Amino acid sequence: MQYELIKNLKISTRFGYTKYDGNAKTFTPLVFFGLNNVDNSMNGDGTTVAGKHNSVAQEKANYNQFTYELFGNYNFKVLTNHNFETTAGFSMAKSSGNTAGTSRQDVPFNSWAFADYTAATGTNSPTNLNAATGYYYQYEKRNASVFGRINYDYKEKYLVSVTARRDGSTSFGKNNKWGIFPSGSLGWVASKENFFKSKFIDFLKIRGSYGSLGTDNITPQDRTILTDYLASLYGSGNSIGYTYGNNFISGSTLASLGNENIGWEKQLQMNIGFDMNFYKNKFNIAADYYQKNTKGLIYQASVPAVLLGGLQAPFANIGSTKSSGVDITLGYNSRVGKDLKVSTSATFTTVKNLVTGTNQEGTARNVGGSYFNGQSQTVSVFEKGKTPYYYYGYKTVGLFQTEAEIAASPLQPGAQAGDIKFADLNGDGVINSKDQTQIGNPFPKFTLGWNLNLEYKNFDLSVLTYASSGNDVYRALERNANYTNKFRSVLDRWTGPGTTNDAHNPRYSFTDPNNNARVSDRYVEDGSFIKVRNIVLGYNFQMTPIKRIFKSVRLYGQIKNAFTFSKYTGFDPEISAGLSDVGVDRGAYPQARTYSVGLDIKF
Amino acid sequence: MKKLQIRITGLLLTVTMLTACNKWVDYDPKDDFKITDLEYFKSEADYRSIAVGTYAPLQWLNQIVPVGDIISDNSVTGGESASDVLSLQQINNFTHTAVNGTTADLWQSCYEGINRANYMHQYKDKNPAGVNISFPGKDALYGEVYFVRAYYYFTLVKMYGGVPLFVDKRLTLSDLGTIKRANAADVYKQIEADLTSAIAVLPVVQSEKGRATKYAAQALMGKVLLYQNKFGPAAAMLENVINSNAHSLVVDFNSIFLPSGENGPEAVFEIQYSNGSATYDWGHVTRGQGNYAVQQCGVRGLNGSAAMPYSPGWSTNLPTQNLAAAYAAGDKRKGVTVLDIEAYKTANPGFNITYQVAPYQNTGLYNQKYLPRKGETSGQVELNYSNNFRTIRYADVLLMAAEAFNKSGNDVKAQAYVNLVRRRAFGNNANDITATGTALYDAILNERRLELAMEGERFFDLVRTGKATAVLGPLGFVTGKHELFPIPQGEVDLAGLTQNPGY
Repeated sequence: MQYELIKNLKISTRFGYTKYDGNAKTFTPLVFFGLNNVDNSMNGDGTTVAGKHNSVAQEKANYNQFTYELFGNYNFKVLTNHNFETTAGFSMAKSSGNTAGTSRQDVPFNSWAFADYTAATGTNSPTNLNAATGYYYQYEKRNASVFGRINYDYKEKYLVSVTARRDGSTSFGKNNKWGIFPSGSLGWVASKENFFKSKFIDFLKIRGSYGSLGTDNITPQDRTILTDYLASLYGSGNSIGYTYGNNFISGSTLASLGNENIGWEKQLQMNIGFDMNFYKNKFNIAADYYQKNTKGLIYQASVPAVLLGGLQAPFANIGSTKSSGVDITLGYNSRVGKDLKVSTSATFTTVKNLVTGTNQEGTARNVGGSYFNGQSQTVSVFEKGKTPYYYYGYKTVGLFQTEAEIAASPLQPGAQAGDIKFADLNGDGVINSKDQTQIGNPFPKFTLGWNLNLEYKNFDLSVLTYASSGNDVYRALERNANYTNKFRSVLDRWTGPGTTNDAHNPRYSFTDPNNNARVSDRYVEDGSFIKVRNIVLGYNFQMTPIKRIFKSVRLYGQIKNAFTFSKYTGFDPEISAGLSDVGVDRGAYPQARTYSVGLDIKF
Repeated sequence: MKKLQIRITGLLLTVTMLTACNKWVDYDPKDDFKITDLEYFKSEADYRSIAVGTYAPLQWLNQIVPVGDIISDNSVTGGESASDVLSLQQINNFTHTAVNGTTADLWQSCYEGINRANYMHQYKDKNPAGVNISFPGKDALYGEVYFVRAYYYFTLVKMYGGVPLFVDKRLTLSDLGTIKRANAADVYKQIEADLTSAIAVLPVVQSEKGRATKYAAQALMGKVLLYQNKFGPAAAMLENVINSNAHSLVVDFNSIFLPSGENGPEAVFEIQYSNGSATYDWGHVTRGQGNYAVQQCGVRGLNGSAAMPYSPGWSTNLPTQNLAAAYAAGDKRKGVTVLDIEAYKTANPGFNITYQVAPYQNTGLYNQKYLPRKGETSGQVELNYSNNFRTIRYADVLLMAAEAFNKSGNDVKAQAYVNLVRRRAFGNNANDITATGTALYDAILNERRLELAMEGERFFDLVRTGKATAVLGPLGFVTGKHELFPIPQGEVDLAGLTQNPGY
């Protein structure tokens, strides 16, 4: 709705509503996988394995979101060339949802046809609490904000914009519900100045901006008591029940510590740069220096068990980070000869990441990148003055060749000939946890994106290439276990004095008394890569009979994830993960290469 | 005029909306049906419920029993292969490091238990809302809480030596900087203080089996004193339990470990497990109501007739031939402690037994005391064995008393108590121990091994009596290092705790 109250003052109001309803049903039949398979729930003769059941699970979920906005615009000019656009208003939003589900065992005839709660026959007993179960949960989050904006320009030559918003969220503790987020930009289109008379440069704009925004993607952090035994067991394993004789009692305990001070995570970004078109607008360049500061990063701190036992730390604004670098995009658009059209751009980005603060006097460490290779390990550390979640572990200095070499080296408990020799960094004559240090940086030093589009007569070709340089990958996918397949590199292992001194290839030992499997640079590799992400070759049919019926007809072939060039020995050096797991390769399934052929028809 | 009206209405609407905005983002935990601790601790029922929560981590300490034998000459880890249950393999070989899932889990379990007990202690006089809640039996209930706290600290101090010590409150994040290791003597002092408080208020009988009694607290106190070589006070403390005649040795040694023998006359304290609230949570195998250590002990692929009493398991924690050989002829405890599966098969052809020979470190022997038995589990069968741990048996009390009296110069009483245990074992008094002095001491320690084998005592007995080097040295025990387990690496890194020597 829009209403013009007085001249140039418009009041607008907007209302948005989204609703989602979901229904799901899952049937888990009794299955015979093969003789002696431990996962069998059915025997070869069709009978049920003792203690096993089939089951059906049903779930209904709904999700509602509404937003309401009310704002006014007032645009005016001062003198003739000073243009002002102002906006002020507020908005409210609510997202809520709930989910209810049931499951029941013993579906008749082990068949989809009868897979429904009403047909299944499972009944709970003291020895089987899962024969018929139900659950329900709900959530609601509300936001509000007040905002204002002023845009100003003088002859479209000098541009100024200032925005401020104050945002509130139900997610945060009562002390920090509201956050203020200012932003602004300045621009100068130098090429519009009268004194600017370059033949070479067609357009030049110098600009700077500052922006801030907030994240509230958490649930409220309360100090709560847990009284539900099953809820205490599943998930956290922080069980509260006990059985006295045969009398089971579901007890209670404090389940979360709460945090009344949690507030907005703020991203502040600053850019200074210019845009320029030159040489008959054939070339364009955009260059920026940027700095992104994240303040009050919302995360769960790593805490020792001595402090919280089985509890998790509450979410808190645990730290701040800074990324800075330059971002340069160079483009070229032109026609070569009569039929060839070339359009290409390349973006070069450098980035430097730094943790600028953590909670508790800046001494706190947060660990991430957990994995299991026989024992549970963590490799990544977040602490002040370092790259966020850099790799932390031991440095290797080759392999022990002989018992004599072990005797002559700093004391390393459990070492035998063929085991990895670790560096005694603090020089105290003992290899222990104090000898750990930074062994890798998961972030690239720079990245490069290159986009090439060619059109020749009726053909078109586009190629998208991406490169990342200097990012380390931690190979967390190897497991030192019997009866599992090994990587081919095991063939290069140490088999006697002088066979190899490469710390990647120690002797093979299942019991591993030297803990060769500890977190060390043995598992760190350069994960730099070049990927040709996308190649599309198309042909436009221009024949008259076709053009009569269709607006356009285009046949194309496409290869997604076409080529990867990398020295990384794992499956794929590009690992998608959250911040605390960045670059930790747990053996995720690599991206597939996809070939496709398509036909685009427009009427 | 009309324009003005519109303006005023618009202005009012805006102001109303802006105030509404502030309320719009208010939040009350009740909106999400959450109970905060301000709403809790308001009734006797709340206090009793949260006290149950302090017992729960006793069950989580499940692996301390297998660990106490695996790291000694009593048993080996076994399992499927050298890399199966790696954390136990390394403990078995004395190659365990600060990165060890089993010891880290025990550490965490103890500190969750301590934090829960402290949380209860924190609101003893006033609840979080500042109100005193009094009810009959409150002191006795707190006696239970102090008993379990003493149990957790005792588990920690015997595994790790001096550990961080705090008793006033459940810790929060802001306490991180204050955490450091206390010395072992101070930890023992606190354990004694807690047990003294517990002894003063606990009843001699609890209507619910498995709750701590006065005698349980006295027996644990006796053990704690013995671990500090305070032999005189230990002897006196343990005699309280003996002279009460509240407990007795059951005649049939085997019956102690049957389901029917749980919480029997010999049980001074048992950590309770049940199959009544079956868990399916493979992510937290030691955290449900079932006893996970039982499944570990079982014979692999065991099959037989319906009359054959045992169920299969995973062949970990296998008794050694060394242990079997330690029993004299006629000692009925041998067959109860170690099951020679091949001999059993031969002796019982009617059972039609088939089984898989333990694939790694096979000794041919299995832990009969806690062997999985048919009908003892439910739901996810591996996780829900109902066998209680016989944590403090009356036989243990007698042997501790014998040791304490021997060390404080009363060999007559020492002989009397150790021979009570031996007579039950042999069914006669022909095997009574007549030695005195040091020979008697060695005989009592040997008796502890025979009586309490596979009950998790062996390693800690060897360490506290100074015999570990002689007995375990050939197995890889390093003096000055392996008396204590390493502080879990995460605790060293995050809390800045100092590591134990040698790790």
